[in-house]
Amino acid sequence: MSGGTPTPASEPVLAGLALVPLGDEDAGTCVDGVCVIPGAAEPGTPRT
Amino acid sequence: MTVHVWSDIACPWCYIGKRRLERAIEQFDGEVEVEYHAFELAPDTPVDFEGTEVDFLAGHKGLPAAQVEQMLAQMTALAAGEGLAYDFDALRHTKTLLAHQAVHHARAHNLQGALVERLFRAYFEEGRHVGRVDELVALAAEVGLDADETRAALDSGRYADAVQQDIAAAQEIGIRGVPFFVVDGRYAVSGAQAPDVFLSALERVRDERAVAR
Repeated sequence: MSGGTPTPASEPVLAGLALVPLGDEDAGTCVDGVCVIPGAAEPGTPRT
Repeated sequence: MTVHVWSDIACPWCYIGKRRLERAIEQFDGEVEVEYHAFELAPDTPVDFEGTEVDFLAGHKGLPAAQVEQMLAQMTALAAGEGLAYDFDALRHTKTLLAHQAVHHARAHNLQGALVERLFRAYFEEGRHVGRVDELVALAAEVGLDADETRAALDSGRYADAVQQDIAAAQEIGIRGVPFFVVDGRYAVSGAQAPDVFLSALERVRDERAVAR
């Protein structure tokens, strides 16, 4: 079973939008293979 | 409203961010659609890697093994706080482009959310190899996708361009890290923020829409 009626493929509609940032700047995130843990003594944890 | 999420299956913070967004949506009084987009966190990752977690991270990033072990312990504890049982000892490193194609295939059948959840769990909690067609087909079938159709989509690269479009869109927006959330095409939330941050963004959009009416 396919689980439903096919829907259109995703479109890159957001490219070029002017976005307003919200939230803390140092939230947990992974950049270039390294994941940053806010408040940790070390700079981050690598992407796994 | 729609929340567009850029994430990678192999991103520890992305699974945590998914949970936190879900908690916010549970508290939000309104309809929210979540759409996932591909982001390849480490394009140099091989499909197959024989070795331990520490071997991989230390070898590819040049970090001391002791530091890697400490970092993984921290990440495991953070995940546990969200009810996720990360098992880095069992984790199988792999390239995630094919998994992202499977996610696009799932979206075409209204099962994207279910497959994203299944892939995260398979990767971080079950030590499944999400870089191989056979494993992806099995996982897709578990959430209700047709196995043969999924295999055909992956073998043919039906969604390869769609994945590259996601990655290109991320670059154009300026996304450097994941998870990254775009709420209603207006607000950007970077990282696995607290549920309150997501909830605040959803409420902000809702209130702005009400004023505009």
